[in-house]
Amino acid sequence: MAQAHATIATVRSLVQALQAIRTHQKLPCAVTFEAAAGLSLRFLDGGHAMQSGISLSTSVFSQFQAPASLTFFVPLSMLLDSINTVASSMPHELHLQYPGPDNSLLLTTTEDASARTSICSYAKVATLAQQDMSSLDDMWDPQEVCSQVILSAIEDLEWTGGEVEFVMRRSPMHFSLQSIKQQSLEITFPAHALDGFSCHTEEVRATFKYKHLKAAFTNVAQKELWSAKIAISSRGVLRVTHMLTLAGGAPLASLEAQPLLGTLTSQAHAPRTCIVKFVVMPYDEKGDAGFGGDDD
Amino acid sequence: MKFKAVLSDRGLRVLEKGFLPTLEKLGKRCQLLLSPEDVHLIQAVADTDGLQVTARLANVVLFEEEGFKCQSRYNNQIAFSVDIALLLKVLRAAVGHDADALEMKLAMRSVPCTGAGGPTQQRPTLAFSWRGHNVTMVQELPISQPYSQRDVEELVRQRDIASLSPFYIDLQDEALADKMKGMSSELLMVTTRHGDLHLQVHTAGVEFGTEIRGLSVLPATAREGLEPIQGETPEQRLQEVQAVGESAQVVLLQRHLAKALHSSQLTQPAQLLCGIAERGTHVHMMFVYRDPFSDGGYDDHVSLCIKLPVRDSEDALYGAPG
Repeated sequence: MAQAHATIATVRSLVQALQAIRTHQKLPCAVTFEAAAGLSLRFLDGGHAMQSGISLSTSVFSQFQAPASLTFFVPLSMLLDSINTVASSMPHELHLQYPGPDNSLLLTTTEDASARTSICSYAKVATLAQQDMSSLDDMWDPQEVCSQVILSAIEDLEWTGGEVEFVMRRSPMHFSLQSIKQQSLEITFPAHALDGFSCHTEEVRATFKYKHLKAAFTNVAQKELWSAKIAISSRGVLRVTHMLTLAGGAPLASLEAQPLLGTLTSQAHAPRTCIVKFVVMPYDEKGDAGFGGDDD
Repeated sequence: MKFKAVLSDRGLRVLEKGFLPTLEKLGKRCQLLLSPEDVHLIQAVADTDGLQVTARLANVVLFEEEGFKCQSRYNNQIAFSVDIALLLKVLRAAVGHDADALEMKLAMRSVPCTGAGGPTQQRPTLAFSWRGHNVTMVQELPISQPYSQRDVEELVRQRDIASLSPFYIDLQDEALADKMKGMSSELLMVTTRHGDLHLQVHTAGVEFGTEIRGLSVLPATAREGLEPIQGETPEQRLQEVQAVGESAQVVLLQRHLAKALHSSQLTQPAQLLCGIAERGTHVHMMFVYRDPFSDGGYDDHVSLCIKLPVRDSEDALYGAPG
């Protein structure tokens, strides 16, 4: 069986980026090593109404060896705990290897070798049986993208109801969040605060569970070098993409420093970025929304 | 039975800032064993949640030479137990008032029995008297009945039980055990003659390990004739030393290890020696202190030892010792 090895030097920022998907549930998480794309984690949350994921491009790693595509499953909370535990001494490098002993995912840290005493921590995370989990982007038809916005202020909103409605209008340019329950709350974002707005139809309305939105927006710990992109498809599926630049480690390539790429929302992602993606199914009162293979 | 002494400044500081707060974290009460040479502060297994703690402070550290008296029919040894929080309260009050010449002595105090006019009862106390800037204070600390000869002998036997382990490693890092916090209640600890420490936690679905290499080993002879370790990963290195029998291992409670290591916080030992007893019957930790009055030398007037219990049979999870 092909082996995947990856070494990451910016352990601190990795831990920080992973906080964006913190969860206390023992959800199965798909871990994918891809020679071209890097490492990604994906899991279904909130009764299959939301899929979250984080992907780290190969440039984040100081060493990355993988077959074309290799996917296995581990319990998400266990994976995050393990990374936090082995990284707690702020090691020099974190090394991931699959398959390790007993088909486990092996995490190993190495310390600065010049020190007199060295601490080396490791964790063997037992893998789960193969699961049926469709890819994030299978749910997505890029033709239907109707809005592309950078938001800086979704968090800290206390919504009165359990659902939040997104409203977008093409002309005049309008984007607002509404909650309609016993009390109503509406937040309209000024047009100049939106970057790269586009709306393919006259008006788009979609409703989502607040708890999913909260998970999708508020856990991102890193506030610098961060941008977010929101898109809603014609079927009402929300996609939130956070782009984080992992700090530390090797200096950034000079290309990134130049404004040649236009905006950060450009498809040509700067290297060294970590992408955290959330795909949220629209809230449906009948409750039949969900990803394929819904079993609850 | 007579005990009378004047606490020295250093003695007051060592007790009030270092040893008593340390012991207070491990248990409510401690037993005092007084003798003409030294004072032992002892917490038996029943006083803590399973650790046995012995602090030894020589009388030259604690007391002024003048006016010291410690006499009893049992080899001039006196033992009793006190509530640590109360004792600390008395000492802190004295420190707060810049007490001069803090005298302590054993005394009996008559207290009336409950009910008016009843017969009085004799209660043993440790009486403290001191003069501060504007205040003269006498405080009587209730203590247990002084131990009988048999109890004193038993306490002395407990104190001396900690036989030395074949070798010790100097842990230095008190935060070690915290890494594994919350993972599991038990962990496997392996010390090697090479100066490596391995900690492992096995829980359902995930195994954790930490290896610390390059720690000092005592006695130095423990390293004699050792082959260098070849293994490339921590686990290979562990298996290698297990195979040739250059390691010792036990399974112990994470909570115990964390408490014992944290005990070094207030007393600032120069070395935090950790050894596994012959046949893995217990873990022996010795805190070694530097002599404040000489450069580089260790102070044999002050020491703190903690004996940690181990799990009876090594859990099947951790495999048999090599």
